[in-house]
Amino acid sequence: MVAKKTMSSFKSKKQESINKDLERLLFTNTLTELSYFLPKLIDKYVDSFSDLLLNLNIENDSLAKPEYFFDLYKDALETFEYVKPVSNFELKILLPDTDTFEFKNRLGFLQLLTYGFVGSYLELPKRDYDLLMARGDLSKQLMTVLSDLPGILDEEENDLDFYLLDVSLNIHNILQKILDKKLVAFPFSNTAPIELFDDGIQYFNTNKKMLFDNILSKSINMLKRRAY
Amino acid sequence: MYKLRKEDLSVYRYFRDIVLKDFNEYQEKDELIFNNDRSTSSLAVYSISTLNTPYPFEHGRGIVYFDDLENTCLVNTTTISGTPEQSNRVYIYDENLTLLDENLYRVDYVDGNILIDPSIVPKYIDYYWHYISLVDEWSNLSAASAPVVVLDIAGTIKTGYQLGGGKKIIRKGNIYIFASSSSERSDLTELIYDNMYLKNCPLYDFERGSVLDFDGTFFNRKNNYDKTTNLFSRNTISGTSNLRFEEVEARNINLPLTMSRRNESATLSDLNAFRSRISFDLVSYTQG
Repeated sequence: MVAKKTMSSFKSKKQESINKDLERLLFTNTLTELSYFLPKLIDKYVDSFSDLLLNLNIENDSLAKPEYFFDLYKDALETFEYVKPVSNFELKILLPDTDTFEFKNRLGFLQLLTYGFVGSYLELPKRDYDLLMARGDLSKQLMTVLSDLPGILDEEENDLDFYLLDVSLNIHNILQKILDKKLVAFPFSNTAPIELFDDGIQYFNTNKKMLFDNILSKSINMLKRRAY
Repeated sequence: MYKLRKEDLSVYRYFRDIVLKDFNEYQEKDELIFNNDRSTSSLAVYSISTLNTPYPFEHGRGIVYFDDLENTCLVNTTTISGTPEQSNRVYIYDENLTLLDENLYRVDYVDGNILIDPSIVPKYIDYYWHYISLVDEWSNLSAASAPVVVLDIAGTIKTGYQLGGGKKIIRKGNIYIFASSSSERSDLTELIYDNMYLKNCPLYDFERGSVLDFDGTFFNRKNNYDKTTNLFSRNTISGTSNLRFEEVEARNINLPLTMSRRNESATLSDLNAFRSRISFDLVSYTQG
C-alpha cells in the first residue's frame, strides 16, 4: 500500500515537472517564433498604408500629405508592444488597431482617417497660426475661436504642424485676408473611415493557426528529446 | 437591380420603418406656402414652412410615408398583398381648417411639398416626420445636422455552405451614429444594437424600384390617385434566406483627439462630437 502511494506521488511529481517544462518551452518558443513573424506583420501594416494612402492625388501645398506621416507610423509600429507578459508563463498578443494603437501627437492625423472625418476643413499652418496669435489687433471673439482650434501638432516645433479650421465657423475669409493667402483645403474632409489596420489584422488571423501549430510542435519535439 | 442593392435597400427599410420608428415626430398646423417656381398651370406646388430643428427636410429625413407597420418591414396589413401609402400620417386643411380629401393631392415626402390642383388652396398641414436622418453614403453626412445614422455596406465574402449548390453571402457593414448629445448617442446605439442582435430582416425584390419615385412622391401615385389600389409590392426574393445580422459589435468613438493651443482636447465639429459605430456581418444563404 505504502509502495503504491510512493509510486503515485513520484508519477504526479514527474507529471508536474513535465508540465512546467512544457509551459517554459511554449513561452520561449512563442517569443522566438514571434520575433520571426512580427517583421512580416509590420510589413503588412506598412504596405496597407502605402496602398491606401500614398497614391492619392493631394495638392502639393497640403501639410496633410500621408507621406509626411509614413515614418512616424512605421516607427510607431516597430515600437508597438505586441507581446505583453501576463504572468511567468502567460503572454498576451496585441495587434495595432483603432483601440490599441497610440495616436499621440502628429499621429492623431491617422486617427482622423481611421475613424472617418465629417465636415469641411481648411489647413491653417502653425507658422501662420502663430503669426495670427502674435498680432494684438484681433478681436477677443476671434482669439477665442483660434485658441480652440484642433491641430495636428508635434511635441516639439515642426514646420509641418497645422491646425484644422472648420469652414462652418465662417472665419476663414477674414483669416485669409489677414494672412494674404489662400488656405489649402484639408484633403480628408468628409471622408469615410479608412481601414488602415484591416490588412495587418487579417494577415495575423490567416497565419495564427500555422504560427501556434509551429510553436506547439516545436515545444513538444523539444520535450520529447529530454530524458525524464 | 442586383442583389447587393436589394440587400442595401431592404436593410434601409428595416431601419427606417421598424428600428427607428419611435423617433418619428409629429408636427401640427405648419403653414403651406405657394411655391411659384415649381408650380405650373396644371399643378400647384405648396412648400411647408416650419421652424423645426433639425430641419425635417434635410437629407435623410422627410415625411413618414407608411402608416404603422406590424413589426415587419412593409407590412401594415396582412389582408392585402402590397403596402399602401400612408393615410394617417399627413392631414391637410384649407384656411377654414376643413380637412381636405387625401385623394386630392400628392405628397413629395422628401422635400415636404404638396402637389395639388390649382383650383384648391391648402393652408395648413399636420404631419409625421423622421427625426433621425438615415443616409446610405458618408458623403451625404454633412448635408444634415445630428442625429444622423449612416448605413454602410462595405465588403462581400461569398463561400459555399453545403454539398452541392448554394452560397453563403457575408456582407461586412457598419452603422455610424452621429448624435447631438452623449445621452442620445447611448439611446440610439443601444436601440440599434438590440434590433440587430439575433435579428434578421426580409430581403425584398424591389422589382419596380424603391418606394418613392424620383420626385419624392409615393410609387406610381401620379398614375393612380386611389391609395387603396396603388400598392407597393413587398415580394421577397425566392430561393434566398432572410438577411441575418451576425457579429454585431458596438463601440463609442471619441474624436476629441487633436490638441488645441491650450493643450486641451478640441472637438472637430458638431457631427464629430458624439459618435459611435456598430459593425456587423449581414449573412444570407442562396440556392444555385
